[in-house]
Amino acid sequence: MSQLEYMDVSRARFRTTAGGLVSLQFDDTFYPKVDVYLSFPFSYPEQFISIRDEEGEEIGLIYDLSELDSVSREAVQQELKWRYFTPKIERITSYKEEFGHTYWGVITERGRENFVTRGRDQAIRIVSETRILIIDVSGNRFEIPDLRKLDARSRQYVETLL
Amino acid sequence: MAEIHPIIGDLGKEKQTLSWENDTLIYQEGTFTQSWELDSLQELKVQHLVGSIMLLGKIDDTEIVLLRGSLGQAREYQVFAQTVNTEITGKTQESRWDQIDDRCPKCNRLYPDPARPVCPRCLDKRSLFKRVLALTPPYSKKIALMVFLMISSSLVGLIPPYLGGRIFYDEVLKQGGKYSDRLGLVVLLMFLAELLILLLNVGQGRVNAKVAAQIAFDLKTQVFTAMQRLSLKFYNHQQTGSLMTRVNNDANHLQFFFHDGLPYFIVNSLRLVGVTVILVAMDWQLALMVLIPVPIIVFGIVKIRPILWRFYTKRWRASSRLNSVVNDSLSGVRVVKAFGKEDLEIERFSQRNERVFRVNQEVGKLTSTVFPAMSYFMSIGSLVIWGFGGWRVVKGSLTFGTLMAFTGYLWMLYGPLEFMTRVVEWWSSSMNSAQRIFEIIDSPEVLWQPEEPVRLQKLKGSVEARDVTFGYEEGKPVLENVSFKVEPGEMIGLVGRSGAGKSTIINLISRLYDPTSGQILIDGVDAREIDQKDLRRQIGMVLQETFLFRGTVYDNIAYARPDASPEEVMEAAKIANAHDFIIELPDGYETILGERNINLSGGERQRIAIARAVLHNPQILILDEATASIDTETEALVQEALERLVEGRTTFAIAHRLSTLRQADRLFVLDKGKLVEVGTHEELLRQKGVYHMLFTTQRNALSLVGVAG
Repeated sequence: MSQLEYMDVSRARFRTTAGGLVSLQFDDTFYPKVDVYLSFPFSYPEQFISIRDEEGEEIGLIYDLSELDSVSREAVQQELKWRYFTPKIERITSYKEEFGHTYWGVITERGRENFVTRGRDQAIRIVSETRILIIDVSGNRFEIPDLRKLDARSRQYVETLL
Repeated sequence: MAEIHPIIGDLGKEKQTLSWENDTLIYQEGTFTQSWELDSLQELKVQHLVGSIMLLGKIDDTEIVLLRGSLGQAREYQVFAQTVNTEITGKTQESRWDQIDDRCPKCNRLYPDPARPVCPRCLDKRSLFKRVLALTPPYSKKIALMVFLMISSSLVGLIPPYLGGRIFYDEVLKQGGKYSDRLGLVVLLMFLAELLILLLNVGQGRVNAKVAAQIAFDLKTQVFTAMQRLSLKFYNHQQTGSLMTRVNNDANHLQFFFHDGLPYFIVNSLRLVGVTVILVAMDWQLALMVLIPVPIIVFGIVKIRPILWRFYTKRWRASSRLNSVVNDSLSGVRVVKAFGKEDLEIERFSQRNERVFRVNQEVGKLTSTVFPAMSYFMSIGSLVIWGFGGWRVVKGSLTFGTLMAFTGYLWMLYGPLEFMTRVVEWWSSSMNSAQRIFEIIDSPEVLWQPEEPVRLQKLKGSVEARDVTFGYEEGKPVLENVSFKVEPGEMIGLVGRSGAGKSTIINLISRLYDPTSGQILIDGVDAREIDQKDLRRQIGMVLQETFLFRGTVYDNIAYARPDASPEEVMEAAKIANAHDFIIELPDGYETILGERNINLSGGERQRIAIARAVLHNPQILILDEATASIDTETEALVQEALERLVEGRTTFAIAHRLSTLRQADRLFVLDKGKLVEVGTHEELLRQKGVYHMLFTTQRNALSLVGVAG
């Protein structure tokens, strides 16, 4: 018997509120603000989504985002994007190690950015052979979706850390 | 009105700003503006997400997202929210968040470590160096001797090539030379010069070894002393595990600085100057030819080193990952065997092992190319000498001896050169190590200390919390507005789910931390005002995990009062129901704990801890899951000991098993950082609130496994 409580998505309506949050109408219950969590943020970015109320109690799990109607899906997707905000690195323009800290200059889809990472273990998360997550000193995340698609120079910088 | 800096939303391509002016909240994005008047605002709140943060505002009873930003903005958001909230409620919220700037005021660079306002670029290395040198006065005589020996050795070191080249070929071997009939004397001189260098080097090395080790020793002692003094909050910021290793590494680094770095620097600079002077004096034209390739060599070294370094790091990382697999599967060997996963472990090992193998191969290939190439380029220098110098010898404008001396000196030039290219890097990293060490030595006791602390020789034992809020991290309160009053001698049971804030209350009462806002009062005096020694002396703890120091049973019980007499210790052990089993230990009270063959059970360790507390005789007692890791049989013994201990003392007890709190006068029920219910066991059961729920779930769970609730 499964202990997991999947949500009957046909009864759920997620909406982005005027204030930019996600609300949920589930049968007769209205939640003005719900939080969305990914159980497996790397391997299953669109599955096993835990919906929690403001107290942190789980209302239910969504097995797959595609089960939702399009408006609900968009609302949840948008919220996931904010929660797991992770710009993708397109190119590494500069890389400097100094006194155990690394100063990065990168180009992401948002444009030019600089950030600082500390240590290796705290800074690098190897998701797969080709997918790398870089976490800066404040906890901000940057992703290299496919190492092979980076230009040679950028790749060289990253490979030092692997 | 308080001044607030606008905050920025920096997640999208366009930036947004949120500012507070004239009691109005103003949002701006490009040309779009929106504003809210003070009257409509209810509360601002910062919420941390995984990859971003958001500022929420409660406006006319609906929550809206005011701004989203990167995690680096957390502090600004927090301050903004707090200040605006103050304006809304009109009530100044006392706040003790550490206000640390996260940018270097000089170069405006982000500090690499937010908890550590140090900019490695703008570090005043010179004053640091002075301070490092200031550690040396006790050894100034030895250092003077060391420097003298170093200078002598570098000067004497310049002699052999001259003797072996110029004098030997031009004055001894040549017919009609000055010393042509005194071959023996010249050889003897060369022998003496080499011997002198040897002696000087040995002497210098020995003095040096002593001084460097002494300085490292002094530093480590200072650091350890400082670490004992620091409050727990410091350990929260720094990762305790790596702290000592780091301190050790840094101290060793500085030892290296004194032992190798500094002497080599002096010797090498003297050599460089000395050799250059001699070369120029012997023949300036040839000297110029020799010096021409120098910049090229320096350039080459500077270029190649990062590449080598990159490969070495790669190798180091690969092998440390291999080690961690070995370490993991060895320390988890029981799990591995139990699940029959030996093959999986072997697989994991071979994967990483193969990586090490591949990286090793790469490094091998690289080094066996680079190093020979480098020495080849260096030998070009001597080719220049052989060519140009040889031609001049043939022409007769240069003596053969000078040529030989030149080749000798040439090789004395390259070593120091190589070293000099590394000097800046080495100097910076040594100074950074020094900085980190001084940082610990200098870090203030985070707990505030009054100028004139209130002395309380004998506590009565009343404890009061007034509107206490506390968080280990900024913006994440663990306790919120907790208030209570406990009379002397009362026993309080702290109840709640894990993470509800029970341990935090205890940490605040024993003043391991200070509240973020609000007050803890002991005997009616703010805990911050009380002399820390007085307070510590009168607060005792028995924890779930009893930490026994290496030493005898006696030492362990008498830890808080090393001057206790044998009778007092035995008396305490008796009260703690520990006397009987101690007597049965091979060496009685003088049995050494922590040795392999002495295995005390959880209950026995616990009773030693209780004896320790009895002897300590505190007025306020804290029991943190004191009976959690004990079997039922010994529990009775421990429970009995605890009852004796609790008698007449103000006691705060945390116990997961609620039934163990039956003797408590009152129970405090915590839920999500708030004190939600207060009362006796019966009262609370009748209330049918949180406690009732906790109690029934637990009783059901226990009866299910057949343990009497």
